[in-house]
Amino acid sequence: MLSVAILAQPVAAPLSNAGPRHARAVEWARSGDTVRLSVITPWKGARKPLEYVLLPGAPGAKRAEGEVRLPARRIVCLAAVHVGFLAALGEAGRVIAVDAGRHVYDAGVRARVADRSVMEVGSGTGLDIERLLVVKPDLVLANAVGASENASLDRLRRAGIPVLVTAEWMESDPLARAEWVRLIGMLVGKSARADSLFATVEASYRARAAEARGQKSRPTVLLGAPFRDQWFVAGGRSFMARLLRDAGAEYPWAADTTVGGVPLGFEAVLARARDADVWLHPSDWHALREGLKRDARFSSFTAFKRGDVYDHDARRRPDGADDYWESGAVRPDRVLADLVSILHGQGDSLFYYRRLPK
Amino acid sequence: MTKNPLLFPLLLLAVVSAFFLDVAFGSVSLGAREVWQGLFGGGDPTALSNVILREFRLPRAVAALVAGAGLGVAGFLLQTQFRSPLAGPAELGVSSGAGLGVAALLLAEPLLPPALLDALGPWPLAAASALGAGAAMLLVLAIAARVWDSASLLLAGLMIASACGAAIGLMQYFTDAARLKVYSLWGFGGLGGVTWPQNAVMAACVGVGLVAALALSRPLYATLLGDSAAAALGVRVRAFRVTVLLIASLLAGAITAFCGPIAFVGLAVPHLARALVRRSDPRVLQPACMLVGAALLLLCDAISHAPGPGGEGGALPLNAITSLFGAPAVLYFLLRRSGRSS
Repeated sequence: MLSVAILAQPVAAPLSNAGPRHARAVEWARSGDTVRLSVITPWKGARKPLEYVLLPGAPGAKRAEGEVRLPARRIVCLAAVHVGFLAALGEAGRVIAVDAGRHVYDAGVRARVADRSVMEVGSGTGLDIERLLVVKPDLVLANAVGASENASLDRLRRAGIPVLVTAEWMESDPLARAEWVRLIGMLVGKSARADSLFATVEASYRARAAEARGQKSRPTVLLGAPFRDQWFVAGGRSFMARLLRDAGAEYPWAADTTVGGVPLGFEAVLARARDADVWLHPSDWHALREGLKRDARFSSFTAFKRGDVYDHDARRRPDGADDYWESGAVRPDRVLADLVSILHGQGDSLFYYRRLPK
Repeated sequence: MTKNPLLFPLLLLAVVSAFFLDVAFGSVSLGAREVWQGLFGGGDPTALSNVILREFRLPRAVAALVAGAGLGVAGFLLQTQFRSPLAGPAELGVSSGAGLGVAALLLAEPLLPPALLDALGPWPLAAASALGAGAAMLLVLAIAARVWDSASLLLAGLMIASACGAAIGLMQYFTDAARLKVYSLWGFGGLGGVTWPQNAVMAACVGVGLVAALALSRPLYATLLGDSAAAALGVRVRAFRVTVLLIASLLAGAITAFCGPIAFVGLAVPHLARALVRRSDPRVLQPACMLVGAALLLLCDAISHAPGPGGEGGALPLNAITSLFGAPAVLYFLLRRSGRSS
């Protein structure tokens, strides 16, 4: 019923002419045929934005720095999240190379990696520039965790291959991250489809958040797992803290003002979250038994004792590719629905999440 | 025994104080009464303070005590046998050998029956690490039989370390991400992950090693006078040297198995102990190494867990602290030594 109601909602006028509404790490403005694109914070501590000009048509004889010709037909995805964005638009067929097939969840792209119609080109210092030069992509989509990683892409830029560094991972709001699909839509000439998809996701996300707001209980949530006795706890301004707030959870570090992680001692986390109702994302282990083997002290947590430990590994392949990081970036409404079900419902019919077995 | 009769009581006091300091302070601040109850019983056993003390701070402090004492003596044994002031478990490639043993075990784990692994508990890890340490040590010994100057020996240790590192790197390349992570966590080194059962295994191995080392104090003293003098005193030099190095492998291997590589303690403690005792007699120096090692590692651990300014603290990497103490100490002794010889 709910999904019908959402789909029936009117889609706003062409959004792509307007800049992003949620995203903070990117800005774009259209004038005529040209879109001026600015990735404001391409990585943590970036000194200046990365500027791009998106133009229609085939590249001219002399290409300017940051110039991208649209629509991009042959695309290289150096991060799985880009495959997720393209697949959400039904355009995964444009992918001609990925960094590594084992990083990708999408079944279609994986099958094409297996039959070698999609190449594996590595990433960072292991990027196989020569193979990329041979296939002449229209566009390479990449993430950069810092200036040096961005600089390693310069070899491609110098060779005349357009590289667009995206920063959806820098967004600390789930809807902001998902809104990057609108940019990807512009790149492949499917703006209308991307805008309507995003509007649907946005409405669905808000509906779930409203559902969570209506709940009386606010279960407490513990996040992550320690490295030996150091526990990187997601800060109060982080993506996860925002998601948990929207899911109607009480997060013990909600008042913290950090966007990234806060390093704490194991005992400090125990002191604050021993009686948390739910434990999310232990991530290194996939059954309670394995967790106990890693550290028997996990059984001090109430959520562990009750077995209320969940991770987003329901759609994870044995080699580690996890759809949560891929389609989950475009569908925060689905992620939120899972969390609302875990926190306020029976924890059943989950999509990305799974209650860890004994 | 020593020039200062109060030295050993003072060292013992230092160990006890460092132990209490390590237990009393952590990222959560606890009152004196809570610490007392946690240590000596009383209060609700499920109370947070009791859980923190008994499951977090005590196992860590016991591990620091055992590992500090063991590494101090292991370093001493290596320095006497290789006649090099720069010998230590890390410097001679012994820690890397232990690492190779641990990496091989982690890689082989999926091939072994899980029931067997569960039944053996922490023993396979200790065994793999001690075997790796022993193999590296014997290799150094074989090289030492040909080159006796300490610079070449250290270079050989460095080569063994980098060969082990390369082998580990290749293993990591062919292993899956989760196993890789377990290994890389181990490689950081630290005492926070040592559980009670692991502590028991580590303490058993280190206990055997320390008793054996103390029992061999007299022939050890004889070898300090030179091989021919030792032989004249009835020591079978070659067999004795292998025995001593196997003891050092047991000590360094068992400790490295559970704590990961710990920097500088094995190297710096014998120098500190010598400076305090001012005698070269192993019968005095070895107990001093144990006490100084234990006190130093306890102190480093306490510092790494000191509460931050906001009260809710993190955990600094232990090796950063041990290096901060160890590197200047070793430099100081080196400079003083060269000053004396020139």
